[in-house]
Amino acid sequence: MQITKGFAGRILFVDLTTRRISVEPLDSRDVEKFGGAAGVNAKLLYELAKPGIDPLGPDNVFIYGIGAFGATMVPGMARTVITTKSPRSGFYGTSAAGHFGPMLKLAGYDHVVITGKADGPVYLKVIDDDVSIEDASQLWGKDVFETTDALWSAYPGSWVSCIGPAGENKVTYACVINNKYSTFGTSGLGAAMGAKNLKAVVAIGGKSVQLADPRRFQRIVDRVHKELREARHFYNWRQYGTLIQVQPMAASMKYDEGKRTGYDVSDWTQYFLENVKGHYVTCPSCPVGCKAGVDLKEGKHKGISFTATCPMGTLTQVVSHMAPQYNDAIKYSESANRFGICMHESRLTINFAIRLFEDGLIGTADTGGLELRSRDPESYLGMLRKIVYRQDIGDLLAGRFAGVREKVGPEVDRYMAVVKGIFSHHLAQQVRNEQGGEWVVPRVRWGTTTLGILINPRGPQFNAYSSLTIMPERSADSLRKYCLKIGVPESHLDALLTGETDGYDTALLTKYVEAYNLVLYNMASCQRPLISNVLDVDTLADLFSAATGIKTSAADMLAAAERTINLQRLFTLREGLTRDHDRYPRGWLEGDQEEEMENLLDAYYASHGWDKASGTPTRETLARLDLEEYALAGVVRA
Amino acid sequence: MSAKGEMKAISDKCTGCLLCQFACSYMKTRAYSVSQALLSVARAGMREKYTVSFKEECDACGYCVKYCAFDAISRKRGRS
Repeated sequence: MQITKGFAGRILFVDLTTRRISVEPLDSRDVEKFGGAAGVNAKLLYELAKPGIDPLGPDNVFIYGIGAFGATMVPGMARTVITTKSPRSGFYGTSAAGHFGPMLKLAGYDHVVITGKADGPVYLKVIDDDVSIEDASQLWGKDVFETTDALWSAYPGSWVSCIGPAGENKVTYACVINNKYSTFGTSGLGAAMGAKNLKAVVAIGGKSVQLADPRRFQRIVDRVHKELREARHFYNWRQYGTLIQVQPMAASMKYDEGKRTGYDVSDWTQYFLENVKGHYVTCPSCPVGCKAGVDLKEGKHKGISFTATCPMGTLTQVVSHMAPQYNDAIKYSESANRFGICMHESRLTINFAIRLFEDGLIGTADTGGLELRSRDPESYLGMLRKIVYRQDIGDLLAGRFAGVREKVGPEVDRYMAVVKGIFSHHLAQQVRNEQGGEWVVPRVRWGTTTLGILINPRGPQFNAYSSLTIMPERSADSLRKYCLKIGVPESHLDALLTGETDGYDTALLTKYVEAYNLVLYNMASCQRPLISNVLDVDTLADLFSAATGIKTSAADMLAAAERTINLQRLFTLREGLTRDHDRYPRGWLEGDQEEEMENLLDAYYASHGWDKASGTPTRETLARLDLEEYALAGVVRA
Repeated sequence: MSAKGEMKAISDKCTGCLLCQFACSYMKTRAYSVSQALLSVARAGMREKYTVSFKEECDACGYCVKYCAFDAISRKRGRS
C-alpha cells in the first residue's frame, strides 16, 4: 500500500539508455521494514543491481533517497542518501549530504532510481511532475560551481546535485555535490554518475509534505527546537563549526595532527576566525549554521569565496598537511569542491604519492616532471589536477588501489592501511613522533569508531560508527546515559557496561551505535553531536509515528536499521567480500593488536548472528529479521 | 500595516534554512511546503545570499519569527 503521510509516497525511475521515465508508489511495507532513506535505498540496490556488475558500467544503479523528515521542520533533517555499487571499493557505495533531497521530496519523490547510460552528456530535470532528460553537452567539462550557477540561472529557485571534472573522468573518489558544497564523499559516487553521462540533477518542488497528525508532530518539533536552541554549545557550533571538536579530540585521543605535522591547532583556529570565516550557512530546517562560508581575506589566494561543508573535515585536515601555509590549504579545499573530488581520499592519496616519491618508488618520469615534497602546496595542488584529469601517474592514482598495488608493487602496503580499497580513516597512515623521527604505525585505541573502520559496509568512514567512545575516560554515568539515548534496552545494560570508566563491551556497543546511526541515516539526519543529542531514538520514533500514522517504537526503528545493516552486508558478500576485507592489512598492526582485532571481529559477527568465517548472516538470523527471501539470492550459509 | 502588525525582513541576515517558509505553510495548511508559504526566500546571486519578502496574503501572524535563529525576520506589533 502506498505511503502518503510523512513521505511523498513515490519513487521516480529513470532509464538513461531507453530514456524511459516512470513513477511507482513507495510501499509502506518497505518503509516499515527498512526504515527510510538508507534502508529503502539498500533494498532497491540489492534487488535492481545484478551481482558482479561493473560499477562504472551501464548496469550500475544510482539511487537518491530522502527520509520521513526531509522538508519538514525537524532540525538537521536536510540530508540525502545516495547508494550505488562503489567504483572505489567495488562493494557498497553510499554517502549522505545536505541539501537537495528536501527539494526532490517537495517535487513529489522519496527516491530517484537512475539506471542505464545516456549516449551523450545529459542532466535530469525534475520540476514536480515535469521530468525530462536534457542535453548537457554545454555543461560537460564545467566544474561544480560553473555547472551549478548555469542550472540555477536556467531554473530560478532550483537546487542542483552535480559532478565536476573528477566525476566525468571517473576518478574513483569523485564526489557528487549539492548546491556547490554539500558533498557525497569517499565512495566514488561522482564516478558512478559520470559513467552514466549524467552531469546533474536539477529539482524544483512545489508540493507539500502531508502529516498524519500535524499538531502532535509540531509539538515535538517545538520541543526539539527549544532544546537545541538552549544547548550549551549552540552558538559555539555556529562560530566554530566542527572546529569545535578538533582541540578536545586532539587533547584526549592523542590523535593530534599538529604533533605529527608541526601545526598548531590554536594558531589555525585564530587564523580561521580572522581571515577565513565568512557568512553563516545553514542546512534546510536547521537553525545552527555550523557550515563555514569561506571568504579569504589575505594572502596570495585572497578573494577565494566558497562554502566548506565542515570546517574540520574539509579545511583542518587539509591544513594539517600544509600548515602554516593556510592560504594554500584553503585553495586546495576550494579546488577539490570545484573539481568534485573527495577531500579526504584525495589528500591521503597525494600523501601516499609523496611517500612513494620520497622513497624512490616513483619519480619525475611518473609525475610528468612534478617534484613531490611533503608539506609543499604545489605538490598537493599539482597532483590534485593530475588526478582529476588523469595525467601521468595521476591516471593510476585516480583508479582503485588494487591497480596501484599491481603497478607499483606490494611494498605499497607498508605506507597505507587500506580497508576495502579505501584510504579515508585517521589510522590509515604511518605517523612521525613529535620530533619528526621514524614513520611508525599508530597504535589503535579500540572503540566503536575504530572497529567501525573495519566493518562498515561502505569501507572506512567516520560518521556511521561515531560515538562518545571517540574520546577516552568516559564515566560510567555518561556511558549509561548515552546507551539509553541510542536505544539500548535497560535490561541489556549489564551485559554492555561494566560500571567503570571506559567500561564497555566494544563489539556489542559498536552494534548498538551502528543501529542508532543507521536510524539517523534512515531519517536522512545530520549526525553532528549537537543535533543527535536532541534526537534520541524515542523522540525519532514519536516523530515518525506522528508523521506517517504508522505506530512505531524505538525498537521498531532499530529493527529496521538492523535489517538494513544485514542487507548491506549481504550485498557486500554477494560482491565478493571476505573476512579479510574487514581487517587491517596483514602486518600493519603490532602483534597483540592483531589478536585484539580478530577477537573483536569474532564478537561483532556473533553479536549480529553472523558466522565467524566470513561474517555471513546465518539462516536463523535472516529468519529472525524476516529477510529469508534474500537468502535465496546466493551466499547465505546454513 | 495590517491589523496584527507589520512584518519586516533583513535579508542580509538570512541563511536560507527555510524554517520560516515551513512554519508559515504549517500554520496556514498544516503541511510543510515552500510554495504555499506566504513569504518568499529567493536566492540572490550565486552564493548563499537570499532575499526575503512577504506576499500580499501574509497576515503578519508572526509564527515564522519564532523559528528564525538569525533575527532575519521580525514583527512590529500592530493595532490589535
